[in-house]
Amino acid sequence: MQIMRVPQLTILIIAIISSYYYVSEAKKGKVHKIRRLPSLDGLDEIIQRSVELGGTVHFTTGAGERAGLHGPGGPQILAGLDVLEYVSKKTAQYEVPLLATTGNPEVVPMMNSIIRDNYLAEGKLAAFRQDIVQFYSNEQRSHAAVLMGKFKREKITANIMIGPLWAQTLLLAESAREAGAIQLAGTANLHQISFLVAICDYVLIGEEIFAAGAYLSQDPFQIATIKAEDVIRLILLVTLILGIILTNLNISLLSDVLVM
Amino acid sequence: MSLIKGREIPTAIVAFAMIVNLIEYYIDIPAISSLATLSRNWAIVISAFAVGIGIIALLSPHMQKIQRKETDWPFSVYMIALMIIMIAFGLIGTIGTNPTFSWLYKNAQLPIVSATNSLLGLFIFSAAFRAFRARNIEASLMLIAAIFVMLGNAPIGASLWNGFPVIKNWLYDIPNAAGMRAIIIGAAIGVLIIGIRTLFGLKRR
Amino acid sequence: MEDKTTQENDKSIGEKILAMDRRILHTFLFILVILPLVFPLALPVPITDLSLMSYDMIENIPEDSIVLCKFDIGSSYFDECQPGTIALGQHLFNRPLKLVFIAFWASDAPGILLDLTFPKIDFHGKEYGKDYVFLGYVLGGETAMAALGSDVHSLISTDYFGDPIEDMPLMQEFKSAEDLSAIVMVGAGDEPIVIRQLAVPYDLPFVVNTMANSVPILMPYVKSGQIDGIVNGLRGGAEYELLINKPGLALSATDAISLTHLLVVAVIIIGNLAYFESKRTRHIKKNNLEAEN
Repeated sequence: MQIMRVPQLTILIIAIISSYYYVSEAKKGKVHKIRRLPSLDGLDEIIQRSVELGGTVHFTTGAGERAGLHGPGGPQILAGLDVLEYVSKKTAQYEVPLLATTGNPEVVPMMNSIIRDNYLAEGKLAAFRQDIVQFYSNEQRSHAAVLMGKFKREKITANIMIGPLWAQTLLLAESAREAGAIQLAGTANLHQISFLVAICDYVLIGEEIFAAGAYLSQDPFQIATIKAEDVIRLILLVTLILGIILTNLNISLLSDVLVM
Repeated sequence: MSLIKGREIPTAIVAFAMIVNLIEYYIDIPAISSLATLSRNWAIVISAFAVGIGIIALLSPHMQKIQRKETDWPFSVYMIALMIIMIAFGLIGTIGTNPTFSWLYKNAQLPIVSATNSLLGLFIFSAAFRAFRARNIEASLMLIAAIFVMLGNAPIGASLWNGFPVIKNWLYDIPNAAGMRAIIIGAAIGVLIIGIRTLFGLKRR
Repeated sequence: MEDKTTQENDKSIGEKILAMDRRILHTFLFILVILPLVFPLALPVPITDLSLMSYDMIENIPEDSIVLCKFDIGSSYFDECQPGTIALGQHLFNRPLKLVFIAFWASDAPGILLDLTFPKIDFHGKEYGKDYVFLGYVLGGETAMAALGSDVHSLISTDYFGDPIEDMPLMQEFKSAEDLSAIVMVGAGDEPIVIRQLAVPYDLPFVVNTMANSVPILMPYVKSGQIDGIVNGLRGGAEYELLINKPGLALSATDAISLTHLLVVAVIIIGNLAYFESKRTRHIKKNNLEAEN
C-alpha cells in the first residue's frame, strides 16, 4: 500500500478538518465575517430595477459541452445554483417574472426544485410555473442564439450569469447590454472574465462565485467553509514565500516534498 | 417506500463514490482501484441519461406551444422536425457515421456555428470600442496593455516594430501569468471547498 | 424634429463618433477581413517561441513511441483550430510514431476529424490498427480520462468503427498512460484536466492547439513546464504550416488577422480621442452656461 500525492492529500485533510472546525464554531453561535463583495451588493439593485421597469429577470448557469455537472463546470454550476436560491427568493418576494435557463439538462430538475421551494416559502406558489426553467440546448451557441432573440423580443431588464460560461458569454452579455438590461456575471472560466469585465455592470471573478452563496444567504455554515478557504490560502501563501526563499538559496527540499 | 424517497440511499451512493475515488487517488490499493473504476463507469452511464432528460426538457414546452397554437408555434414544429431528422439519421448504421447525418452536420450545423462565431468577432470589436476608455489610471493601464498585446499578437506587429512582440511576451509572462496564477489557485481552493461543502452537506437546512 | 436636428448639430465631433452606429464599425471590419482573402498581401509571419516549442517537442519524440492525440476539435473551435490541427496532424504522421486518436469533450469531434481533417492529411501509407487507431468520442470527461490513464481496455473495448481493439497491434501495446510518450491536444478549457490526470502523473510532454483567448491562461503552465508548447489558434496554425512547410488556410488568413488587429487598435485610439474631445466640449459648454447665468 503506497500513499501517493502526499502534499495534495495533506491539503485535502487540512481543508476537511478546518471546514468541520469552523462549522462546529458556527454551531456554537460564533459568527464569522466575510469581506464585502460589491458586485453582489448590486444584485438587489438589479432585481429592484426589474420591479420598477416591469421586466423579467433572466438567470443562467451557462451552456457548453463540458459545462455539465460531471465536468469541470460542476462546482461552478453549484455556485450558480446558490445564487439562484437568492434570486428566486427575491423575485418571488417582489413578484418579478423570472426566467431561468441552463444548457445542462441534469440541472433542470435542480433549478425547478430550488425555485419552487423558494416560491413556496414566500407564499407565492401560485406564481410558479413549470416554464420558468428552460433548457434550449447544451450547444452553447444554440443556447446563446435563443437568448439573443429573447433579449430583443421580450422585456428582459436584468441578466444574471453565474456558472461555467464559455464562448457564448460575449454574445449574451452584448445582446443583453444592447437590450438595456443591467447585468451581473461571474465565472471561474478565466478566458471569459475579460469579456465580462468589459461589458457587464457587476462582475464576480473566479473564486468570488464560490463565496457568493455564503455571502447572499449569510448562512453561518457556508461562511464557516469560506473561513476554511482562508486557512488553505494562508498555507499556500506561506509555502509560496518559503519556496521563493529556498529556491533562491538553491535548496530543493520544498520542491522535492511537493512532487511526492 | 420511505427508503426510496428518503435521503439515505442517495447519501450512501455519494459516500461510496466519494470515499472510493478519494482513496484511489491518494492510496494505491488494487481492490479500491477496481471499485473506483466501477463507480466512474457508473458516472459515465448516468451522465448519458442526461441526454434523455435534455430531449424531454426541450420537447415539453415546444409540444405545449404547438398544442395551444401560441405565437411562433410553426417554429416549434420546425425545431422538432429537425431534431427528429438528426436523431434518425444519426442512429442509422454505426452511430454518427451515416452519410446523410454527416452531410447535414457539415453543411448545416457547422456553417451555422461558424456564422454565430463570427458574431463574436463583431461583438468584441464594438465592445472594445466602447470599453477601452482611459477613464482612470487602471483603465488606462488596461488600455495600453491591450494595445501592446494586440500589436504583439498580430503577425504584422513585429514588422512595424520589433519591440511589440517583446513587450507582449513580457506582459504574458510576468503580470498576466502572475494574475492568472493567483486566480487559478483561488478558484481551485474555491472548488475544493465547495466540493467539501456539498459532499459533507455543510449547509444549514 | 427641428429640435432633434438642432440637438444633433450641437453634438461635438467626439460625441458623434461615440454615438456612431456600430454597424459602421462592423462594415469596416468585414471589409478588412474579405479584402486580404481576395487580394493577398503576403504580410510577414514571424514564428513565435510557443510554436517552435511545440514543433521541437514533436520532433524529439522517440521513434515508434505511442502518442495520445486528444483531438477534441468540435464545432466550437473548428474555425480557429482546424488549420493548426491539420498541420499538427501532418507533422505527427510525417514522423515514425504510433498515434491514438481520441476525444473526451466534443462529441462531434470524430465526425469532423474523419470528414474534414484527416482527408487533408497525408498518412504516408500508415496502417490502421498498427500505426494509428481512431477511438472516437468517449463519454465521461475527466472521469474517463482518469480511467484511460490507469487502464485503457477497461474504458474502451471497440474503436470508433465498432472493431474490437484487443485485436489491434497498437492497442496491444497501449494498456495505460505508462505506455505513452507524449500527448498532443486540440481544444480549449480542459488543459488543466489533461495536466492533472495524464501529463503530470505520468510525466508526459504535452502540446496544445487551442484558441487564442486561452493562451494567456495557459502561460503559468508553460512557465512551470507542465505544457511544452502551444499552437496559438489561427496564427499558431499559420506558423506551424510554415514550420512543416505545408502552407494552408491559416497562412492565407494571416493578412486578415494583421489588418483587423490594426483596425481594432486604431478604433480604440479614435474612441479615446473622441471620448476626451467630448469631455472637453461638455466642460466648455458647462462653463459657458455658468458664465451666461
